[in-house]
Amino acid sequence: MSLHSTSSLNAGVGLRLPHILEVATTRPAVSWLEIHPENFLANPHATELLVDLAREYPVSVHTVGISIGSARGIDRAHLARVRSLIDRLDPFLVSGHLAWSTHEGEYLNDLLPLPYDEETLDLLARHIDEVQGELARPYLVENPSCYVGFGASRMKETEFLAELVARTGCRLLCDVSNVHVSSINLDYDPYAYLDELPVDAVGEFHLGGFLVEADADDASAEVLIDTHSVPISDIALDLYDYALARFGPQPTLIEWDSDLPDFAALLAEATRADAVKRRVLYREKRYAAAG
Amino acid sequence: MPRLADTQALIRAAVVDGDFAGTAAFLTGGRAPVARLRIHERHYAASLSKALLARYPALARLIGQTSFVNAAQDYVRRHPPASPCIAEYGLDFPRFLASRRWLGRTALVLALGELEWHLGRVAIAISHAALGREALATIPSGELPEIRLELQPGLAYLGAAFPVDDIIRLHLAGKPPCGCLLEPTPIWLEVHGARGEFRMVRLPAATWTFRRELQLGSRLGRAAEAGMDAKADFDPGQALLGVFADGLAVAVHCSERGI
Ligand SMILES: [Fe+2]
Repeated sequence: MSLHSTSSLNAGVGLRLPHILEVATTRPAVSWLEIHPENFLANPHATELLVDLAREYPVSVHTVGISIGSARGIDRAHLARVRSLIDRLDPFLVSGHLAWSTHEGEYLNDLLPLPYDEETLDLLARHIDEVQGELARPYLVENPSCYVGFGASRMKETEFLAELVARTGCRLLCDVSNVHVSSINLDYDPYAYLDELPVDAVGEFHLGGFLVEADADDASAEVLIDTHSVPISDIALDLYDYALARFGPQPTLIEWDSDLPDFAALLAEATRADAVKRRVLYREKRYAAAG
Repeated sequence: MPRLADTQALIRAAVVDGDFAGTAAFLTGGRAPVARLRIHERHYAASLSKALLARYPALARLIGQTSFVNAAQDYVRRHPPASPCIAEYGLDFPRFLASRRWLGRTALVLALGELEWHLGRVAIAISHAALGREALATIPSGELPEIRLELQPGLAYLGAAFPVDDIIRLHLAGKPPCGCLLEPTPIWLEVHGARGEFRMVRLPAATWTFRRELQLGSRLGRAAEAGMDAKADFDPGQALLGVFADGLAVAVHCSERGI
């Protein structure tokens, strides 16, 4: 599938294991599917169904376990397993996170934050080079949802991502909901964040739901938790509107991982995202016509 | 300023062990950044405990949900996953559970845990086209003891001192195990699954031994001897036909001829 055709795709949804039999049987009208290879590598039956689905639907592979941010090195054994799945699926996108999740052979089952300094930048650039070399395709790096920052950070996340793009040729997956979550938690302007990302590097959007909790030790403040367990908030869709205007239409994914609803509910979320895209495209067309 | 590896070691201690010492020195965010790190600690424990609960639901019913979750949270702190594939996590959790002496029923916990692990494994297997008995027709009878049979991938052979298959059946019917099922009863179980389904069949000890040897990759002659060791009047010919009749054989390997 060419990059030209992917930008015209409607919103896709994350395919989670509880839905795979339904999707394999009913072949719903969804533009594309994103999978976490970690859910399939140990599941031959699900992989068999997925390989069949990949003949009909564009598939994106979104890794959560390669851990490009680990100071002790990426999980090469896992990278090789991901490669074996990618060889069978031929996905149109492969992505992962600006985060770390493994430490000395342990997998911590979370996307953990990184300080943004030269040491981390050198490390991630090396790891992304290695991943892109092994997978023989560009890797899209996703901005994380953050609850904490680091005193050691010497650059903004957007500067860090832009430098990674410049050094490695990787592309960016802009998780619009993560931008909102982190902007509230770490107190910055989400619109300025989008303005600072390199415009030509963004090749995919994510949208996911989050929960609001009282911040610890500060009952008057709120912290947003990136749970992917609820519908996408209107405020994230407004930010998505802005992102579409800046980066143009890109493949957009609905992420839902916990308290999974019926597949139809995911399709309804995709329809909401598509309505935003139509609105933006219509507005841009009118602006262009008005000269 | 700590180097990244040191920072990550401290964050790992916070997330896995709940030891937040030293993290205040480098974290920012909100009024209490260390408390924010507890969001990751909470997610680590909750997500992996939930994975264990999904893996061992009948075990949780047997020992009680609260005891199970407490033990699971203890387990995930002591034994973090070694792989990002969480479906592979928790193989030794039943042994960990059984080591908590206050639980009692050590052997039952181990047996039920082992069965649930294998049920989860075989139910996600695929199946291959089964061979009929005619697959043996071209092999001279003198060479038969040397062949090896490859069996379906979704098979497991378990010996248990308790009727754990009946406990699973009751669990699937939404019922707790009745007292009689908690009494020792030796069983020899074949579990066969594929594509989201499984079935459990009790086998005679000698048949179970024969099939298990085949599954382990033993020569047919060795499997026959093992069956006869289990029961003197075991009939390997009939047992072999049974393997084909049940659709378990997917390939015949004859080392000399490379079949
Ligand atoms: Fe995302």
